[in-house]
Amino acid sequence: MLYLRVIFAEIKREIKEALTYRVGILSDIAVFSVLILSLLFFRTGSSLEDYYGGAADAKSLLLVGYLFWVFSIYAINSTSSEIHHEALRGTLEQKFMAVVPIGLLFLGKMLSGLLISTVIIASVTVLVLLLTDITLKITGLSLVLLGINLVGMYGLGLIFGSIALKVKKIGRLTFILQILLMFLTDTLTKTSFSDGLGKVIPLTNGINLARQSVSGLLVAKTDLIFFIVDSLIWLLLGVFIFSYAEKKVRREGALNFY
Amino acid sequence: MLSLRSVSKTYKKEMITALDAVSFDVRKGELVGLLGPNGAGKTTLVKIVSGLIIPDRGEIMIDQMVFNKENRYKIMAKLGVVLEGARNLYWSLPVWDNYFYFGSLKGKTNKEIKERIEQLEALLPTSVWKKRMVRSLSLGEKQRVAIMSALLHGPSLLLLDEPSNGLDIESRSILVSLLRNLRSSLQVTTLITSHDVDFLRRIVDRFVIISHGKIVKEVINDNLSTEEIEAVYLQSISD
Repeated sequence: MLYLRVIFAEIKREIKEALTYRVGILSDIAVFSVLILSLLFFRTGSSLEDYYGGAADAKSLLLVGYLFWVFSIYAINSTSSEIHHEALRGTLEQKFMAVVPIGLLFLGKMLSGLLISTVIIASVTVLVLLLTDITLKITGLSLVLLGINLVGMYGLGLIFGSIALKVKKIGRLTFILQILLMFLTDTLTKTSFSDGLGKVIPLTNGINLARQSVSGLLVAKTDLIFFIVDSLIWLLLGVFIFSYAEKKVRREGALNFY
Repeated sequence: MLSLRSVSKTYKKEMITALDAVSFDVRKGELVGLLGPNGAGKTTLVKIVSGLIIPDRGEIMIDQMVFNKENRYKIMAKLGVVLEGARNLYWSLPVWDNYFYFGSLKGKTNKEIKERIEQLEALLPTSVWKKRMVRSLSLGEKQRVAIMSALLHGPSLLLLDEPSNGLDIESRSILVSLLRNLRSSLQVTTLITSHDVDFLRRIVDRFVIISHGKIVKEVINDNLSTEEIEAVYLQSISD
């Protein structure tokens, strides 16, 4: 009960804080809407329809990849950028003095980030669907795949959170990561990288399998199992690295040094 | 209540020894002032006792529990900490939202937190700011909110790091009265760090003087004047 109560308190606080920065939410909706509409206008990912050869057209397949990407960057930012902000504010140290493991508080952050990002992304999606002729078929499996994807990307977020604990300013690094994820994980179009090393990134698998699902194609069990295992490995890696980084930073006495 | 034995800490990167075999005790119900110049190791000591920094060597006992991995969360439940600058609040949230949040981090339910706020209202009146954003408060008011946040879970040990820094005369005076009242009503064991002799003189039972990471002297605050304490302090840190 204590753990649930603390996670809920973290979610509540995060949402209240987000609501005090309503303009930020509106600007995120605007930015993400303009970006996807621009990509659609320039017919990005036009080869996707041929590649998947199913019922879904190129535009809806691009939208699926894009939505997965946006959810993923929110998952990453819920730890990496937030650690930076909390440390600047001085509240990070108070979190480390809680009666529960710090990981629970970051889980709360991730869940609240998921709620907030769902509102933002749903708004973007509705706007795009109203302004274009896209028909988006959301399958139950695609939502499950999104969840598995977020588990893995949260792990990646924890790794970046560890870097944030150590080096503090990682805004540019996070930005580069977001761009790399966009271009290397089939978000926009199929790449050769995604058939090789890109397969290790949960987002690549998530996008690919979700596109198969919305195209009415069968998702291979082996691919699904690989995706689940891959995401779990990233999560465990993230937890391990964050735990190590936290201890190292406390040993160095640098938790709040800016 | 608090016992430090040979606690040492060196910041390897900067090659600075912040604490060098520090040992002292704070008895239950005592209000002790850790007095020292800038860079003496006061904040490092507070952060080690708070579990934010891992010492290189030494032992810390809080309420007869050794501070280690196994006891960490039990000890956190006993600690109330206000770090320097009243930054450890969410300035974009109302005062009571901060109370409910930080109280929950210490394992309290909303009902318990509300009852505690009401209990402490006479000593630490902050309900008038209930719905005010923390950022709209003055520094002195923020400091009081931060202290209230630290007291909500009924800690056995209160740590205040440089609480008078940046406060004007009126706010300092209010803080002195507050700490005196807290001490007489709640009898919370308290360790306050400061370089302000006059501020500490008005409230502490005992001074522990620290300089260059070492405890150089302990002085009972037996109605000593500021000048007398300053003389002892300056002599101790120059030796």
